Amino acid sequence: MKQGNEKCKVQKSKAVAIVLMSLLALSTAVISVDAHMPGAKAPPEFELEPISIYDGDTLLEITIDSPDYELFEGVEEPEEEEPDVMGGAIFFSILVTGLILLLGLVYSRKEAT
Amino acid sequence: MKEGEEKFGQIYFAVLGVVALAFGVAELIASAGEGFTWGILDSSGASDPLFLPWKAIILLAAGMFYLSSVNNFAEVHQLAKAVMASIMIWIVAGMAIWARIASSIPGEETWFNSLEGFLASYAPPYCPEMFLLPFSLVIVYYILKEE
Repeated sequence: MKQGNEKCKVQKSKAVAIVLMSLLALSTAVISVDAHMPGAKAPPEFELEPISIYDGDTLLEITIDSPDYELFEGVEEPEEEEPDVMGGAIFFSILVTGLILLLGLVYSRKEAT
Repeated sequence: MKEGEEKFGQIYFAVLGVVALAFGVAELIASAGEGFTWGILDSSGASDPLFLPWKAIILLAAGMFYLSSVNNFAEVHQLAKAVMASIMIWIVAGMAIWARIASSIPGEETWFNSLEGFLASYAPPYCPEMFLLPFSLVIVYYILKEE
């Protein structure tokens, strides 16, 4: 009897959840959103002009459809620093040796006691 | 404790105390500004800038403990001060080393780092606490002597 009541409760809760979720989905679908400013006109037509910059003495004209490589022509990439593997290896070996010595010390003290 | 050992301890920990104090002052100044990297010494706090002033305070305290322990060094209470200062350094340096170990294992775009990347993550510069760590281990000798 008790189990039947609980089952019924779960089913009701499920039904309520489904109804609420469908209402939420419907509300987003039905409500129309006017994202534009009321009374605003369409923007006038214009041509996107190229951006002109001087690269030293040469005038460069960059348009929206200019390929990327043209922008970086003659620009030297900064050299990446080589990782200091040897320095790291020295430190790591010191660290491991230190840890082994520490473990050895602890172990020898334990043995002594 | 023999007289020679006491004398050595006094001089050694006085020097270490002064160095720890100097590092503490340097870190305090670094934490007020943008930090600094000088050769293999790094006080930039790049990994954790919020912790930099705390590290400076810990180093200053450790330096003061070392210096206050120098007088009548063989006495157990004085020795305890030096032990406490060393433990403070071990904790901060241990954190720095652990941060290196933890960051050395995962790769930038892969699960695990390459061998080169793994070793390179242990490369200099190092924070001042890591320089003090090996020198602070001398206290272990005095602890074992006291037992």
